[in-house]
Amino acid sequence: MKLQIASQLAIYSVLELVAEPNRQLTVADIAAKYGISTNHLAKVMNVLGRAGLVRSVRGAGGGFQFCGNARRTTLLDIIEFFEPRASLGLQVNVRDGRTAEEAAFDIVLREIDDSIRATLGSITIATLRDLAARERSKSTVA
Amino acid sequence: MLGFILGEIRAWEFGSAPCGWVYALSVEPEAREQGVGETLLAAVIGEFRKAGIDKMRTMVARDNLLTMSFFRGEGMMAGPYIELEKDLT
Repeated sequence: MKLQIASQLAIYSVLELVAEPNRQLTVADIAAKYGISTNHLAKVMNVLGRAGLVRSVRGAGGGFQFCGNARRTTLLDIIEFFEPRASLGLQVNVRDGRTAEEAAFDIVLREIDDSIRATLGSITIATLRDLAARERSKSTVA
Repeated sequence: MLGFILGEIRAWEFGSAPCGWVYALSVEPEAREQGVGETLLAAVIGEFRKAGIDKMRTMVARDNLLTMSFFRGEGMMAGPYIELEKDLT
């Protein structure tokens, strides 16, 4: 499974906003940290805004704020805004009269698909933020 | 009663070093979001640690995302085993 760049940027951006809930971050702030184009990230933030996960605050010191529930928003919730629905699934085409071989291989692909969805659907932004904090402390110790 | 947790230490199965298993955790719906599950889990982890155990496992239905989300929120990740089963009917 390979996620679209936009999905990854959306997750990183939300993580950045959740890490500093009292401060607005601009697209330029986040783009600079991840070495990406502000244009690309602006499109991602627009999608997140329409989804009600972030809001933009205008004026001096303005920028974006996370306005979802970090303990309830899962990675799958975010990714599904950017991935074509079919790309998250691996199922072969279900068609009338498919062969037993196709049906058998479909069972295997469904098993993989179920695992992907269970993982992405059970890890919240708050959990990923805590995981990032543990990774940060590991690299500090090292 | 607001909730309960059941766990035990299993010392031999699957070629694993001894580890603590949580095999039941339930919190009354009206008592959720108040830290009851976290408190119960912390208590059983304390018992595992006292017994010298440094690994804990549980098993969650793949479609039970709420419970899986709770355990992941407590720092649990997928382990090295995959559960397999076979329909015997």
